[in-house]
Amino acid sequence: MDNVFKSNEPVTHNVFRWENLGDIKEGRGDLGEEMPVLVYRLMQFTMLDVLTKNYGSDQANQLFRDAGYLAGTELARQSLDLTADLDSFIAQLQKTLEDLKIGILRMEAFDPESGELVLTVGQDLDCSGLPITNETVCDYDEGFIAGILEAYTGKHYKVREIDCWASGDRVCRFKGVVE
Amino acid sequence: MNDDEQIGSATLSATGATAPVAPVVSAATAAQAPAAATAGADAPIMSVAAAIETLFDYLKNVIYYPQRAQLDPESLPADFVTFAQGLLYFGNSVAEMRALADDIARGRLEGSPTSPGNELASDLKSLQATLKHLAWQINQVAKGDYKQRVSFLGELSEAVNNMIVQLGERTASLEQTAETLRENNDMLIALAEHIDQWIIVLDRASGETLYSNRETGETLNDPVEEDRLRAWLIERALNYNASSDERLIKEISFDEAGPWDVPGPNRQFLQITLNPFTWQEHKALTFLITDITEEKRRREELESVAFFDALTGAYSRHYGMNLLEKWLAQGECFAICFVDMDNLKYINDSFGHEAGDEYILSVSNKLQSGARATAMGGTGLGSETEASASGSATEVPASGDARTDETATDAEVAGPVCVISEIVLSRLGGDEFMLLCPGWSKQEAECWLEDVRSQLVAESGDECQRSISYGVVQADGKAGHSGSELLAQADELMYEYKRSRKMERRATLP
Ligand SMILES: [Zn+2]
Repeated sequence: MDNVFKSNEPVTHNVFRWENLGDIKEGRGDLGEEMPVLVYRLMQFTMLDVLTKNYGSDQANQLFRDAGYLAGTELARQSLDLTADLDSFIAQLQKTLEDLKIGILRMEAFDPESGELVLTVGQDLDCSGLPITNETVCDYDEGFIAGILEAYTGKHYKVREIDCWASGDRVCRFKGVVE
Repeated sequence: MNDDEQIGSATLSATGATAPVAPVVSAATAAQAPAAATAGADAPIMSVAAAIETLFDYLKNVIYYPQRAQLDPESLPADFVTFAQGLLYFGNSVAEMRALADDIARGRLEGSPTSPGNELASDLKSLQATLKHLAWQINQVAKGDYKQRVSFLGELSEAVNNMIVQLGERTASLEQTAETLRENNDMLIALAEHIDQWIIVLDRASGETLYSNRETGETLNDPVEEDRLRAWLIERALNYNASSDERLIKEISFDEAGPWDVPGPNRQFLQITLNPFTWQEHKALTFLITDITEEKRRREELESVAFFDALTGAYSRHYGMNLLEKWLAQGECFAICFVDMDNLKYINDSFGHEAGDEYILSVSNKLQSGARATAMGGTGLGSETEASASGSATEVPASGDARTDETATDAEVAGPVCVISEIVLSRLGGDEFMLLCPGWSKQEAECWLEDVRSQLVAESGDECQRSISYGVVQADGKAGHSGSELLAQADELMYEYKRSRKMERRATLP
């Protein structure tokens, strides 16, 4: 028998909805809304480990990229003014990423003709301080940035990390091109 | 194990032994090292001391002579190979770092690429990223984006953000000023386009037009005159003399003055004011050109009303009284006649004002024709010599129709007559006239007026007698009485005359 009281409640947590993140303030009255980055990375890298074991590293990285893309699109729609002019949009994006402590976004180049851009993220949540493995590890960030750019421009972006803390750099550098 | 110990002891002993090695020797050794390597497997194995020296020289070259820094790990004893490979990696990392540092120092922010994992270069790459970001920021500011801020770069953040805020505020303030200026400019242009005057600014060096608020043709009635007016203005500008021409106000008529000599229905008067100034490094001359044709016409109309009596064309009371005072002041000798028309009120009442006006005109004409006759020398009764003695250079117009523009314009300032010569008739009002007869005696005037009176009586119809009464006072050229006093005396005499005439008439009645 259906519960008529619950007919408007989410059916599953396996589909992302902002409401599904719940009332964090209410739920964590004493512990508060923040937690150490360590925990975030613990979850991220264990998940990567499990996905890699199940699907191989390429597939695991792609799944991370896809998740990042979803997060970027949702965050942009939720928190950014997508009607602002480009300069204002960059400024608010920079501020939002700092406020959320995701990283320090800095633009290096933008070609208004082609839409191609290069930006860096300093003190990146995903990788800053990681041991050097000569890999670029910020697949989630690649998707995240692509999602934000697409939400704003309406164009499909391919974003690749060209420098990463894990490859021996102090900032992660991303290059985005319109596909 | 044995080898390891040997290497260890060799390294230790080498550490002690390397200090005194001369650069020249080590350079030579380094140069020989590749030769030893190419000698092949059969080449003699390098001694531990030589190997340490080779490595030391390589390290030294990495630091001081990067171009010479070469090392072949395979030429070294087996125990040194890994260490040599590490040293090579270090050398490469340093070389990349140096190349990048050199690029950044020269402002080439793209920089030479470094190998992945070159951790020695990572801080430098971080600096490179910062500089690239700053370059982007500055470009943003240059294209007017004052929204971006630099964070987490300490003093740099503060300096750049300060600069962006200041530039943003200054730009906003300049834009505000520019907007105000634009509005003011629009207003001035609108004003210049809507005022009646034609403003034209010419370059005093080239005669070229710097500004004009309208086309030449819009100011002129006759488009044919356009080129000539323009040529006149250009000539003025080119020959402008600050000391003599400054703020010249010139009145130009198209058929009287200036280069325009075309009489006709398009006669037009322009008033031109000149104003020299410097505009955008040009020595310029502004002409403010006003069409005063209509104003001039109105002025003439007003002057005519002030100086002449509309009905008779005789001078007005105002004009006559001024002239009387003037002649007295000049000490002229003349007769002042006060003339009063008889029976005007009766004629007005009985036959209407048209008949009255006709009566006034007939009297006025008689008095004026008398004046003209005097001017031609027809009357005078011995006054002729006196009249000509006082000079008759200037002809005094007897009516408004005969006068010229010059005399009308000058009249108010200079007075109507400079040298008196003939009778001046003014209508004082209603039925009263005043005659000023230069050079005449009282008797001469009375005699002539009696003659006029007789003519009028003779020409009268049956219904009513037309005649005049008069009183004459002599101005003898001596100071004493004012014009109005003398006129009052003449008025008094006129009454006496009128009374005595009535008595006469009563006496003659049956
Ligand atoms: Zn990274």
